[in-house]
Amino acid sequence: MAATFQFNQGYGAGPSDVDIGSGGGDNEFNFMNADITAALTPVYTANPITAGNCSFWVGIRGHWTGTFNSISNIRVWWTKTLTGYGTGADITASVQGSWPGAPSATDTTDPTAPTVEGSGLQPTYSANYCQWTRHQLETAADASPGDGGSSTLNLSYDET
Amino acid sequence: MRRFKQWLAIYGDCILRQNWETGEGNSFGEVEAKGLPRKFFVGRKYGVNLETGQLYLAGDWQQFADKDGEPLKPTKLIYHRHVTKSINIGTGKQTHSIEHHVGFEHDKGMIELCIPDGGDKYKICIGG
Repeated sequence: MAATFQFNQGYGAGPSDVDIGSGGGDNEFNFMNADITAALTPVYTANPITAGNCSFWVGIRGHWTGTFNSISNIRVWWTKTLTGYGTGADITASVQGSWPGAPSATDTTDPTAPTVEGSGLQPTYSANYCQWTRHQLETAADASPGDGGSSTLNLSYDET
Repeated sequence: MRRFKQWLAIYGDCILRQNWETGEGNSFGEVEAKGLPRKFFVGRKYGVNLETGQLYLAGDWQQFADKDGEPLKPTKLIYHRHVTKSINIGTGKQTHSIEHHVGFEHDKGMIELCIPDGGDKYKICIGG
């Protein structure tokens, strides 16, 4: 059997963590002006990011279960759609050697998130998880009200 | 004609090693744990012969050689699944793609077959 994969999101100072389901809808990984809870709430619509500010950063990692020999060559990158977030808006990202404390809206000053697999972040695998990756949406003052573009987070790996 | 008992086959999302004579097989996850025989791997559609440097594709064994015409000399088996998982933060929709890689490293680089999961097509990836 092959490994089973789930995106895993951290929250709180600890952190606590929760696997992200595949049901879709609001209770999924998103950028907003709040941290999440075990129930993957609150939802982004109730916690909008004020134009010109950063979202709470989000900690995401891979979670593998099932039968497999090894996981390696992990890459994390974004397919960005930043329309509506204002001039110069961006998603930033970095690999974290350890959990950097409770998520907040403070600018992480992480570099712009990679957009191709070949230059993707390279978190290392250990004991069913890879290292945390930290992601943040930075909006600009001229951001439009309402929902902005819908970006996609990608994570690839080799399995034997 | 020489007969070999072990073969490596690609079935959907897993790789299976089976014994031709007994039909006994091991799951993908058990292959490495049991040790990989170096002699002969062949899949139903794709495979690699670690003795000769041949790849099995398009229904036949094909010999690969360097620029001087010398057959490639395998030094290490390559076999893994390359998986890409994606999540859209607006819709929450998750998607994935799988590509199987089977081939070998040799003293001048590597050569492998890259096969989309469940697909009948492949591409040959050459490095070095």
